[in-house]
Amino acid sequence: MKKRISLNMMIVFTLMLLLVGCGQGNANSGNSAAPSTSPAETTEAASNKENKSEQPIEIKFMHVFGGTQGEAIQKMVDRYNASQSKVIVKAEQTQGFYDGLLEKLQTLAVSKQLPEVAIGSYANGEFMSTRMPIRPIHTFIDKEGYSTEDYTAQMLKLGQDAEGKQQSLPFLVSTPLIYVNLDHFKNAGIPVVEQPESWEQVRGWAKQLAAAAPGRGGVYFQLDFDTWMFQTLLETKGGSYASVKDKTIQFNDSKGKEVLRYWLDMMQQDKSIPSMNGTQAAEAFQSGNLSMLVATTGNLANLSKNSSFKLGIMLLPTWEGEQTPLRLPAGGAGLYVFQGSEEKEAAAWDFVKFATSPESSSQLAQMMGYMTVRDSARDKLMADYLKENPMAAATYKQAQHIVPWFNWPGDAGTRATRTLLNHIQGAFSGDMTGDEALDKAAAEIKKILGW
Amino acid sequence: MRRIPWQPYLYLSPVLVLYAIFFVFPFFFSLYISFMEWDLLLDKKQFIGLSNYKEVLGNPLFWKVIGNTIQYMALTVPISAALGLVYAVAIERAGKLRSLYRVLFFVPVVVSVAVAGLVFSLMFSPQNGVINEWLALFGVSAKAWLQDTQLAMYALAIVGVWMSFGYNVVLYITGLKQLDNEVKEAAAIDGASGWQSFRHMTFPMLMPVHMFVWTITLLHSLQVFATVQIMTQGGPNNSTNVWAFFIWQEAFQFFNTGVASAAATILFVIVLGLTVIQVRWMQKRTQWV
Amino acid sequence: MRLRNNLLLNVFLLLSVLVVLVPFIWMLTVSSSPSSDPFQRIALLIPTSFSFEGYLQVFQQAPIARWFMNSVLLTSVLTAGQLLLGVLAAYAFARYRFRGRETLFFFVLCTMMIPPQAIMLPVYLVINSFDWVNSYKGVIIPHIASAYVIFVLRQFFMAIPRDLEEASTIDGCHSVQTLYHIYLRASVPTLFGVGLIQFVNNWNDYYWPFLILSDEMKMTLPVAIVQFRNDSYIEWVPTMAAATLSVLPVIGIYVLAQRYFTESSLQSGIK
Repeated sequence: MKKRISLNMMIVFTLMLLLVGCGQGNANSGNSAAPSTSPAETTEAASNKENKSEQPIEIKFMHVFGGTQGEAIQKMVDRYNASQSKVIVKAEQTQGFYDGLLEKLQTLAVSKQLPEVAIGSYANGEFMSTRMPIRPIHTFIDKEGYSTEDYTAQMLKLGQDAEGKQQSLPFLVSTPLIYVNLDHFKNAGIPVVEQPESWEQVRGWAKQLAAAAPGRGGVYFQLDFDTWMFQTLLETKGGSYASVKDKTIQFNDSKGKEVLRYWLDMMQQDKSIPSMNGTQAAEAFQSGNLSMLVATTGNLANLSKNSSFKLGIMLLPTWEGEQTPLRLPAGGAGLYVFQGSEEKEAAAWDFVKFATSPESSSQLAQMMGYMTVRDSARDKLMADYLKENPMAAATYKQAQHIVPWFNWPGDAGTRATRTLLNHIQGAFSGDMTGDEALDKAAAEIKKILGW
Repeated sequence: MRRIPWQPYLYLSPVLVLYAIFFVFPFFFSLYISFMEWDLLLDKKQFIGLSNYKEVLGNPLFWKVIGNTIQYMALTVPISAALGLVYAVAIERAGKLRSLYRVLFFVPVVVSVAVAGLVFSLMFSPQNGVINEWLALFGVSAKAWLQDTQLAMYALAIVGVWMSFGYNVVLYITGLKQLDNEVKEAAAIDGASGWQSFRHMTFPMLMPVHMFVWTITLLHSLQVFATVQIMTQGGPNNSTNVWAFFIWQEAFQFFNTGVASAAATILFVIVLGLTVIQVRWMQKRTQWV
Repeated sequence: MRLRNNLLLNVFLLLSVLVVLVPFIWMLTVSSSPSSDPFQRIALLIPTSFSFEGYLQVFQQAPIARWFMNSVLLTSVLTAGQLLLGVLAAYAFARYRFRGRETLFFFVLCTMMIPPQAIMLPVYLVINSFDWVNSYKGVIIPHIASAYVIFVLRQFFMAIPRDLEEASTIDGCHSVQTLYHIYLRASVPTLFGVGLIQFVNNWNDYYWPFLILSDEMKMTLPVAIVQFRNDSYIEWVPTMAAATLSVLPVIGIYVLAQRYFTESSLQSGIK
């Protein structure tokens, strides 16, 4: 509050300076300073003062999903609103995926207009719990004695801080999958397997598939808005992203460089990775111009809709000659509650419980392609569905390999991720070698973090 | 002693008050922020002197951004101005369909930059984009326009020219109309050919229009933001990161208020300097012509 | 010879117009394609099959009618405000001699020259301190003083001959009457033209509403249609349908009143 008053005073002061500077201390001039305001505004301001007891509490829920996925979210919200009369949830989609949402939440935090509930990517957990005014979920759990037993244990961990305190509840979880165009495989005579032997084998296929038709891409790794895929391939190779404890960056070690070289070789020598962005890759895959797409399980619903060919999926392989097991950073997002009045927080918590209930979770999983976060949903509610939809079931087969998504410490996470992505893009465009790109990115991130 | 009239100040007061709040004050406020380390989220601030300026000037990205902005201007302004002149001359000679052409060339100017950005990002798509398909007719292989650090800026410049040159056409037509009779008479006396009279008479006589066209187009291209935000987000690898986007990114994406303000101040000074030089130059030139 | 030249010129111009209009044709084509295969087409631009499902989808999935009304409301209020303040300021600049006139006018022109992004952060913080973020006030008020309107109207007012004022003395109560009876009546077409141009400009505003309006239900059309795309998977058909709908009013105004847009006196008055 104090800040605002002083700011207002500064404005008035400049105003006076300007008027005096014009040689006119005319007091009249102030009167006409308030021009017309829109009628919608005034009514809104009036309705802001709500009646506590009688009217239902309205809360806002921000997410990032559009299209089929957005419809699934909206359906869940509608069901919640219909299920009780005390709370009305309004869902709102923001642009720019997880990072876009994070930016928006920051702006809204400054203007004190945060929603009551928002999703937060598992890559931003650190930021959400240290920099945003959230009400940690464990406060509700403790107060109510809410049981989290049914939440899948590894997924529950995704919402915990270093001390094991629950900051958010898992909402949607995904792992990467290889989506394949089975027609292309059949025509090329490549056997369809559940899981390729190695990434090297995938590379061979990609080259063969790309060469089979002009203008066709072999494989695309969805990697334009985050470094999820890079971390997956890197950690499966036995490398590591960075050590927050030792304040060292490790993605530019030999393992990281090998991963980037793998991509660059496919792009430049094999010509099997087309140069495009993730959205275009999804479109290309759909229209049959791309044989394999390595992307989140969350795309399953969107991709299986409208495909004119036989869609298949494969699990992610490991690397040839590496002893390390598969490591899959969990994608997706948890639910956060923001600080507010007691009623609003209670309403928000009630909605969070509903949204992560076995019923909601299983429905969202079926409609979107993400994994359910509830054991009971997976084993009971979704049992038939998973039997009938082997593609949806496949993702659960690699669930035991889930590891946390890397979080940069402090407030510079977006920037660090962006820096690494920029350099990888630079290497893809041929502006620098892969080794240079990673070294430069590491140096810059070091500077950003002050390591 | 003449009485100073008070009415003009009264009439001007709403505008002046608004400019004071939303123009003068923000400028000084920005200057103030640029000396601070201000964490907006936790609302903590601290005076840090020139550190933000050092950080901006020492950041290679800042210089890249300036270079990109200049590159964008160098690509769009001359082409947009030249197309404006060429089409204005062509339309003026086209006969019956003249007004139809004038109307149609102007259409892109009234379309919102948001729509232009969306449509062009689809058109530039490497897979389904119509631009690659047309180029393929001439044997050019498919290009990932917006994902290639070498090409993305050209793609943005194409959109910039598309959006702006229709306006220049109209400006030049206006100028040509005013000159028309004078030039024709003079040319008749000299017996000069069409091209000669254009080169020696029309073109130099259009000097005030040239100045106006260049100034306006320059200003517009300096301010390019929405197409970048919608089509490339400054990427790939910052190859289309221009200064307006850079400031926005620092301020609203990375929440680096101090650095954003320092960068804004530096550029504010540069632009102000350029404006003064340009106005001076214009005054000199118009005296000579 | 001359006839052939003329024909060639017209062919060249027609082809150019076609190229210039390709984005529109493309937008219409995609928006009226079936969702299942938006890029199926013959002759590169003409779709093989038409469908209005994209438009239906827009109305089903998005509050597009609401966005449309938001745009209409916001644009109208802003334009009316710009005209009102513009008339007053232009009248002062055109009719009176007073201390600081040149300086103030130069200052007004400066606001047109300085890129708005240079001060977007502090203006945002000012708006925030007034609690106007995410409100129409925050979008409208910072832009209600338009240098362009002031500039054009001043040019026009200066051209109105002084002797029209005749006996009217420079005196408080008559000053407003002079403005109304002489200046405003003479400039109705100009005001209309400037108003239309500003309406279209304000309708198309992107960066400021984008910064200020975060609530989906308050967004204007141009901002909202960009939000309409989904990042992991853009549904091009409804996106292009929404884009088409957002362009229609502007194109409508332009076609009906195109002479104002291409009229010289309104193009910042180069004389």
